[in-house]
Amino acid sequence: MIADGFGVTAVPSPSAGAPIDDAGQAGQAGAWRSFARHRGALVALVVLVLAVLASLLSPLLPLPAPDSVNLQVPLRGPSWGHLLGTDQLGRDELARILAATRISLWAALLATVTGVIIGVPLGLLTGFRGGRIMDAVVSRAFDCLQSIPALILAIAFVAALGRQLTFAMIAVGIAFSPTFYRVSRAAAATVAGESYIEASRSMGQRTAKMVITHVFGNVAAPLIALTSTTFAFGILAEAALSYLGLGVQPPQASLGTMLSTAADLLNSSPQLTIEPGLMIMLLVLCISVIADALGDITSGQGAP
Amino acid sequence: MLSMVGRRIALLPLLLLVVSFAVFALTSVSPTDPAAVILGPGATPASVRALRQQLGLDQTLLHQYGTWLGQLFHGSLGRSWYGGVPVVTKIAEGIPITAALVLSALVLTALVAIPSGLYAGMRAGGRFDRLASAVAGVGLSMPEFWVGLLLILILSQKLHVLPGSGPLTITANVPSDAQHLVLPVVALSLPQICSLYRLTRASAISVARQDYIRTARAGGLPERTLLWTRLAKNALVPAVTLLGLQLGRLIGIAAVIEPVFGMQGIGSIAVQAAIDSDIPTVLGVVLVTASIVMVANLLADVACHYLAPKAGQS
Repeated sequence: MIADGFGVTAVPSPSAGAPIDDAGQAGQAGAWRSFARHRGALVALVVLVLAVLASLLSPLLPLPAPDSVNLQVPLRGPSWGHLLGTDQLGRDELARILAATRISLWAALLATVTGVIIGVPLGLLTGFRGGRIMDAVVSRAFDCLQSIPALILAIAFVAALGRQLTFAMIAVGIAFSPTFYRVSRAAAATVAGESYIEASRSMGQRTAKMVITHVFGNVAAPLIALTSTTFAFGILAEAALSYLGLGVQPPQASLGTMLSTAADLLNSSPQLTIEPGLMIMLLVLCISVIADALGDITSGQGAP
Repeated sequence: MLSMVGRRIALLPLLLLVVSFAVFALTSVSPTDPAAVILGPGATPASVRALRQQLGLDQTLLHQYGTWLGQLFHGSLGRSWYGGVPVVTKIAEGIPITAALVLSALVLTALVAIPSGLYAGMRAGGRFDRLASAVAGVGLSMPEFWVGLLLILILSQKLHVLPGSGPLTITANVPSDAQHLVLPVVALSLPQICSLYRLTRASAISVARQDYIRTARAGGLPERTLLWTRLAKNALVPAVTLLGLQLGRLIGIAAVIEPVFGMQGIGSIAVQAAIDSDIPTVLGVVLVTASIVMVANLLADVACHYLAPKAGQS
């Protein structure tokens, strides 16, 4: 499964993927064991947890406040006092990056949750239950939605609603929702054809209960991998939108706003451009390595 | 086939209607008043009210939307709220620049990603595959605009090899335009190359496992013939579909790349319009982009139909 870029996410047609197996019902211990066999993914998970903890707990770390200005030490290189140096107002770069990472994570979460809330329930419903007309109407609607690139949709939302990160990220989530719809619809449709579903239906089980007991376990596996890739692209989208001035507004630190001020000082202080970018890269790389491992496990290929 | 094309084309106007109405509806419930944004923070309430009236913002939502639709039937997208230039003119000026950027990036993406993906998939686990796959993983996690900034830093400001940013005139000065395009095109393509590489590689691996490839190999067909005839044709189907989808993504990301390199394409126009609350311009860009993407996806599907007639039906 390949999911990338802003918005339009390509998932090869469901028939090309491996059939949904019992991964959902397999013991959690088994899934964890096959995850641990991916050496790289394990390293990525450790690095990611450390980065997330550092950013969430940064107020407790012995660092200057991210917005405390000190004009005595502007644009300094790395030193013991400021591990990553300072910016044009003498603010500690490390403290700002950690504070910015917190915003990135929150923004990516917002976009991912929006995508899941819009895409998954509709996908499960049409895949499992949908009559031909309902399926066609909902699927075409999502097809249409997919023809608007995520960043362009975010630009439209911001133009209409005002420059705020929340609006921009909700738009990114809406642009991601067709992928969630398609993946959950395909998985639900596969399950709906199984004979045990026919059996429970003939025993008079209610649709809602069947979806919860049978379908959810099978859909969860492909969705977890998709959710993590979406989260990674949420981080990239936040950076891009804030860089353009459409998301987080200065003086609040965001990886995007930090890059946009740093771009003016590119020649004299390139470290200010390099450092926030490396943080974005680190987060996205770790998440996508983990997502790839999860994808391998859920598609039944196991460890490489 | 024809009916599929017809149905998809018929959907386009419907999509445009829904999207444009949604933008109008959002504007009317918005906490921000475009007139106040346009006039700036020091504006008096009286001048805001006067501008609202001139922009038609004091009308009901349906009335505003009706007026806009009426103009659309006459081939007009209205006038920009910021500067008064017709939106069609504004977009027409930006399109050649964005087209040069996006189409060059699309060609570069296909030329690099498809052959390397096929080759890596054919020899999965080999030295090239391991190296290229690692590079692709890293390349996918870099934000395009950051790659652009790094390219400007290294190639333009430190080594002075290529110009970092500059006006793109299109048609007036071809050699200078081409030089100005190199860095933005590379920055825009890099993550797309990585994702298309990964997809092509994965689909080449799955095709290589098929019985008919094994049979051909066992029958002594040279590897090179195998790669470029049997394997390529079948592995290309998902790649072409992705390439169609990538056009939309490229247009979206061009909105970040253009400002980095000071290019006045439709992406830059849309970003500036969003900052200025210039709704008609933003709406124009959204409609033009969505139409282009829909047509591109349709073309990709038609191409797939000819590559693998059977796969196209599912």
